Amino acid sequence: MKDFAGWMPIRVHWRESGLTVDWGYFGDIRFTDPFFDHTVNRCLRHPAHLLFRRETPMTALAELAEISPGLPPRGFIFHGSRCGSTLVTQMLAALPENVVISEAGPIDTVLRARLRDPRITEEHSVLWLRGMLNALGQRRRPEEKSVFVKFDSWHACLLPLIQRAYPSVPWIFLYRDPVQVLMSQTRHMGAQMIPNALEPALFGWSAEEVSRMSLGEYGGRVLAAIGEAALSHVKMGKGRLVNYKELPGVVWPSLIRHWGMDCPDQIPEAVARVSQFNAKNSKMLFVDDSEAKTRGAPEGMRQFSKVWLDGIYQQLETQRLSQ
Amino acid sequence: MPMENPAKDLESFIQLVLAEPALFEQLRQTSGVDHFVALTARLGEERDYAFTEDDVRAALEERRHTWQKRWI
Repeated sequence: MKDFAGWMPIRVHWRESGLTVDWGYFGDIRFTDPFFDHTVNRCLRHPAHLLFRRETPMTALAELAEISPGLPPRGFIFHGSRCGSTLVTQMLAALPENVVISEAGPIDTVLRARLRDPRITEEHSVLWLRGMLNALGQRRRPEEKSVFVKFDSWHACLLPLIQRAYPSVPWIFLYRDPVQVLMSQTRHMGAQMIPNALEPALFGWSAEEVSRMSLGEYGGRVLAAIGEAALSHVKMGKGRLVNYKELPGVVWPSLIRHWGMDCPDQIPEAVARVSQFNAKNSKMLFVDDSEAKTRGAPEGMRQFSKVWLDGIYQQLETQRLSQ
Repeated sequence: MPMENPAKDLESFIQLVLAEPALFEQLRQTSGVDHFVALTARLGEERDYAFTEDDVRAALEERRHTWQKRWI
């Protein structure tokens, strides 16, 4: 694993020989884009980075961890999708001491690998997750101190595995009024809302059960399952529930301190500035469309939310207010 | 006379560059695809590899296409 300084896992492949890691050269480029893949795309724009890549077996992750321990994971972010999680990560990434990994494909592949190949044990998954976060959390600039990981929304259903790998890392679960989430999903549907895009077993379902669900029912039940998973684990400690409507003020200093870091009460200007812009498109000013989404929701959507999502939302709110 | 295999030669050259940080850095310092492709082909030729600029462009296109295929 010599000469791997500046190289990051960008994808994990399923090959006949097993899983392999695809490494790309990042140098000291920071993860400042809203999503991990956006930063990878930026790096791969240079033809040298596109052409010259390395592929290794998964064991390389453990070898790297042995010779080059990465920065410690400081905090995890789970979310119900369309709940302000990108705003939180962009605020964290505004500080150069933070390495912020947002919805990285290699992490997702490692976490879901067992669902695809039952020969992969939970022990493998824990070791691979630690190896992956170690590789992604290498200190590449002297001022870097902490790693934050925003997981994909469905990873809340894998909290037991993630907590087994990192039992002492504080985490948050972001959620939002379900009608507002549904309005956002209607405009731009996330992959997790499409039947069989993810393994049914992730949600505790069989393929046959999924085949009997309509598209709408499937999406509603996925969102509910994610919320239920977070609710059941937050009661075990280290987790904290955050409602979208608490953003952005709750980030600094409250969430920073939840993640175990000392910080002044006064929010740094660089962090505050981020909250003025659209987290997914920093060229646009942020506009709070919560009210518009709620007002504009068709009656059918409200009824749908009552059936599948309002109950879990109320439970999350009750738990949050008792924190 | 052995048959030339440009794709195999390019792959061997890629492995050579990955093992020589100075060579990789030289190629990273290129500005623009044309400059990169020309330099890659020239460095390969200097080392008796049998691939052309077209082979380099084809490899870039193939990698771009593979990367853009999403995993989900």
